[in-house]
Amino acid sequence: MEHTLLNLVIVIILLSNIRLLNTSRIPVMIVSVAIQGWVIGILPLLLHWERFQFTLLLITLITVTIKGVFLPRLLNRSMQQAGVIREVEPFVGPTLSLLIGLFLLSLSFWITSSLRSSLPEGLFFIPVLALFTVFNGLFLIVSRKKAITQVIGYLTMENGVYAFGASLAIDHPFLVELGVLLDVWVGVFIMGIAIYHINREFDHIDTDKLSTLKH
Amino acid sequence: MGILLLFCSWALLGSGSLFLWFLRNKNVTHLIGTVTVLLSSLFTLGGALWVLIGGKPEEFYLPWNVPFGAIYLHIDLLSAMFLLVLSVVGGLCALYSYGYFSSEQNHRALERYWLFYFGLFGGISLVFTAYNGMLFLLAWEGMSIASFFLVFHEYNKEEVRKAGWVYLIATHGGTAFLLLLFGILGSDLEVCDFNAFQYPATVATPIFILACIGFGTKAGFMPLHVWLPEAHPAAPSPVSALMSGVMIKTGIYGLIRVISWSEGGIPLSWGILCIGLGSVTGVLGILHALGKKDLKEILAYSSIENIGIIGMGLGIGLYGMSRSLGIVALLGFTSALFHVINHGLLKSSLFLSAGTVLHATHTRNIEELGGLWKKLPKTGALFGLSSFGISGLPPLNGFVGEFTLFLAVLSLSLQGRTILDILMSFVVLIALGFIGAGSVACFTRLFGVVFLGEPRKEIKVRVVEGGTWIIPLYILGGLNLVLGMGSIGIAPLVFGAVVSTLPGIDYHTALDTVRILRQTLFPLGVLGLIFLSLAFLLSRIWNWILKRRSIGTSPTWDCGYILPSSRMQYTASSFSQPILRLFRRLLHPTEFFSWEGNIFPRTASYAYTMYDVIVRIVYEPLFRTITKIATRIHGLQEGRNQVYILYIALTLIILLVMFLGGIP
Repeated sequence: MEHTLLNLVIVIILLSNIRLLNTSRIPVMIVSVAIQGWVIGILPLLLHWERFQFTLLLITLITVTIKGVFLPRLLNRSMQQAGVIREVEPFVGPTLSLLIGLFLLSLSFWITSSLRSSLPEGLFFIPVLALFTVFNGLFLIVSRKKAITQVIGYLTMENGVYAFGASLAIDHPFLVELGVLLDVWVGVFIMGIAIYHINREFDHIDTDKLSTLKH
Repeated sequence: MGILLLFCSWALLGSGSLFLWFLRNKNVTHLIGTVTVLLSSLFTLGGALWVLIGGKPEEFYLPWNVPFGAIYLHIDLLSAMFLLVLSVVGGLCALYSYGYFSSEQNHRALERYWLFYFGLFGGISLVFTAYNGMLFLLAWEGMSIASFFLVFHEYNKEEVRKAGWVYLIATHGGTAFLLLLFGILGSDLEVCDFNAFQYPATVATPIFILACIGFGTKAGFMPLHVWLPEAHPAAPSPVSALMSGVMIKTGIYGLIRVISWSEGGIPLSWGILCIGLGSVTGVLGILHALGKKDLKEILAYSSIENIGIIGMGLGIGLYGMSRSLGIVALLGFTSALFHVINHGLLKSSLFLSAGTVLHATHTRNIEELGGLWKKLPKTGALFGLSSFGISGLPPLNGFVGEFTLFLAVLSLSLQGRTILDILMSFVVLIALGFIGAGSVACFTRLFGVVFLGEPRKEIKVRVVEGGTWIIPLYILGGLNLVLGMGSIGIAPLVFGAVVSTLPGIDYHTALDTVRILRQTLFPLGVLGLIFLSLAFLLSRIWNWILKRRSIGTSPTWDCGYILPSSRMQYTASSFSQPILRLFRRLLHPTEFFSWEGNIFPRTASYAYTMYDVIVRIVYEPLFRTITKIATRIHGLQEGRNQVYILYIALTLIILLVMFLGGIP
């Protein structure tokens, strides 16, 4: 039962990442990242079921609320305020993104297999997918233009970091995770506000046009 | 006692600079500044003379908690020799500044000027006395920065700012090499005292090359001279005089110190390197001086040329040392030191007279000047005297150094056994002959165009020839004459400085060299005296003849022509045109020449512009390449967030892959 659930989680993380890569519709991306947040939020609970503590439950609750509810809603609001629902003309198109995603996935496999000796027993796919999620987030930040998509990339990256920490389960990683979570929350919050204001000033949220500010 | 006097001088400068803070009246500031420098230069003079005459080095040691540092002061004969030049030139330049800046209205500017003048004077004297690497570098930096601010004095002019930056970059580039030099020298030492510096033959050549670059930048060896023709015209004239007269000689001082630390022989290559550097510097320096049209730039290039002569002297000395020809070595170094002193006095007097010309006419472009002797007779006469001296003509002091160098070269070619010996002496002989002829041409042109003939442009000349405008020039001119004819008088001091500094000089060689010097310099002085008294007698007779006749005055170059015009004279450009034509391949002047009509031209004109050869050959391609590379790299700075993040991510991923893949 536990094992099946874990496999399900792995598949959902993988699928949500792929979905993030090959869509250009921002509502879909937000939904994907929300699902990813839910799944990754309950991941610690699944992994450390036998050492169940109240704090673990609390952390799961907080994480899921923030990653799965608050941040997506915030993003949704920003999206509606900015009136941007599609990522038009990204630097890398959906098909090529998918191919690069494949490469990143194999890179994560390779990296994790070189780390195998220091990983806990029976855990291989979780770190692979965690790394993949991190790379995926980075790739989204690099390859997309709209500020809101970049925030989504940032969130994805954070999901990956969280999943990696949870899978390694070093004594109290969650305390650190909570700190990171707080940072992300503040970051996304500020970005949401910034996107709103950038949009109001410039009538668009294309970050590549910000480069004209350097002259 | 000598050290004590120097401490007095520094204390005066320090308290003077404190005093400047509290003064609110600009006249008082100006007076206090001048008097402070004058007094402290007197103290420095006293200290230097005390050591020189007593012949005993003096020391002062105090531990210092700066790493490698100690407050170690040491005045030996060499330091005292340089301090002597500093005290005379520094004091007289300060005296001249009193007149030069008397019409300065800005109190702040005066305050700044004197503060940095104190810094420069104190810095140079500390450079000459510091005997610890750390202290020396500190003094060196202080000197450089003070002189930078003095060059920057008229910072509201664009050209001054440009020159200032060029100077700052050049001087710091030089200091970087010095840091490296002292780093290597003191690598095994706990405290970098000079007397602990000794380097074995294995690292000798890198050390010497570092010293040549580091000290050569300050001295102005080509191709490191680029800051001189920029900074000297930009600086106020007394500052140019002090910098050109004394400050650039700190480079020579440093080189001699480094040579004195060598242990276990001097490689032959050093002498060849120094001779090569010196002859190239001298020849190119005088050619540029011939081509330039800015009064102070010409003087700056002439300084470079003279540094070349000094460099050749050092080179012959080094060559003699490595070939163990003691007399050649001693004569070479003696000639270098002679020329340090004499060039210091001559060039400062030239720069000060140039300052008077500049103040009187407000232009440095010699094409616009002319006939100034009638307006400024005293300055003109003294400028002429110094021009005579710097061209290396007897009986003035510029001749003495070159003459001693000739002696060294002659004894090298006489005692030489190998082809290289003869070759080296030939190189120096040819270069020296060329430089001598070139400088006569250059200063004939400069003096003739500026002071003789008729004005080329209507310029209102402000006659300033009284008081502190002329007194320093008189003193310097007198010193130039006296040192020219009485060179035998200071020869023991110069020679003593050389003998006490160089390692491994035996008694008999020294004695032989003294004999040679005495046999040549004494007749030189006597002949000079005879020449001078004959000239004086002739001028008396001339006056006596003229007294019986009526003397009429008419414009210069009148010569029976009905409509004389100042445009009929030789200009600076037309004077140098044949020489530039001769060296066209080397100097690449851009010439503008027009000629209408046949043998009898209806209109004709000639003009040229000329840039520094080294800048054109070395620096411009260098900086162009750097700019090209930088532009190419600049493409990386895309301006897009995404790309920057990509750089970071790629770097991290590549590092991770490299680490995991076991690639070191």
